[in-house]
Amino acid sequence: MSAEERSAVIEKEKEEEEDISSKMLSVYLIWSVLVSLGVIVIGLVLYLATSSTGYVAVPLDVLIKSGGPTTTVFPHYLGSITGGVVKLKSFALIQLGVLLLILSPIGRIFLQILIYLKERDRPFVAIASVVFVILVISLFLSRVVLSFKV
Amino acid sequence: MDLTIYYILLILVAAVFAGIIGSMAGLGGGVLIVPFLTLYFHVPVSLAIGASIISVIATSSGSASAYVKDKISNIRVGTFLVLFTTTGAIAGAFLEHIAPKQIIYIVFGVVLLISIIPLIRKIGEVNQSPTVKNDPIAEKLSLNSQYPNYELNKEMKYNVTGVKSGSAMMFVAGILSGLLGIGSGVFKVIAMDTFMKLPIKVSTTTSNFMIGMTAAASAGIYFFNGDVNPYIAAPVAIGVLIGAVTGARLLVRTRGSTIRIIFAVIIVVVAVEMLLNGLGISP
Repeated sequence: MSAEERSAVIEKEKEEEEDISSKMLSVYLIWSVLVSLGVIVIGLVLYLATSSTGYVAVPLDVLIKSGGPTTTVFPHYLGSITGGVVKLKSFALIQLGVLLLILSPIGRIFLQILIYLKERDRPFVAIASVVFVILVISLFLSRVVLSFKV
Repeated sequence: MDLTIYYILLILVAAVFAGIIGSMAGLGGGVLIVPFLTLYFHVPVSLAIGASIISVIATSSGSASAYVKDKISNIRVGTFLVLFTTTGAIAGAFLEHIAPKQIIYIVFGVVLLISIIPLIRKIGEVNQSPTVKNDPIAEKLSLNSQYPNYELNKEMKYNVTGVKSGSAMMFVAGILSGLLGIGSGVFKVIAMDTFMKLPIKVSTTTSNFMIGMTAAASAGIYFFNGDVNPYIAAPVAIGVLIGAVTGARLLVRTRGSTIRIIFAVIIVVVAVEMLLNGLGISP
């Protein structure tokens, strides 16, 4: 095999590998969208069917007409959400779906680290890892900012 | 209850529209959702911003699921640049008191208006100019790639240049989103189009791939703070996801110049919003 042929084979293998990687990534993206969408839809349908949020929430029309008040009478912590989901409370399900949606980009970058590791693409393992760490740090920062606010 | 259903449906329809536009122009749709909710519905601003962050992530995940499969967005370029937007966003969160927000809004409103010029000049461009060569960083990280070109009906290779200036611009875009709580899709697209000379569809779709990651960090703040109200978040998330997937299908079959025009119109909207905010005319 000539050097040229060899480099063509390597090029082709690299392309095939990238094909598999982008397929894995797109499968992850599609499923993360479907799962969070599904959970939110179930929550919304449950709410419309039972007319109950499961919580003492300010009704939407009151909220809109008054131009306030900000209501926090729905679950927005991990513990209260899981507690509500177990009891099949509609708003807890919606919040679970929204939380899954928010976390999905962080899962995406984690998957990218694994993909680049498999491809032995060192610079991009480093880049994706740093992005992952930054995202986790900023989630942590958000809690710190929050504790200052409260 | 009936009124609630009516409101939810209305938000849903608006969200589908925002998702379509956002997924085609490379931004999160917050520029459309926030004024809609605050001006039309008089929803408190903090709740509208919470909804807008959900819209950004939904647009990103919804459209990226199609763009990655169709290999339009450049994942390597996106992942590399996210490094700078996320660090910028953290820096921005700490820089809150560096200058009055009004001045920042006015400065960047004007910057946006100016940045329309190079964008419009390239209307009619079907493919990247052959004079564009990879710069050393792009070469080292093999950022160049290829994408399905609709006008020429085949896979076209393209190079990546101006990685340094593009990255610097991304850092500024990140600072802005940390500082003002706005998504910065417009600045991302401009950086990739004007500085890095990527084809317009690659720029908007790569921006879509990126915005979800930039927003995920700040989304946590709003979510745990209780600013994401299920009444609004549910129709926004459902509508935007449907819109984003639809927009992604449309983009594949749209001419590059059409995307450019849609994007230019959005820039004008965003610039006017920022200028109004800066001048304190916003309600």
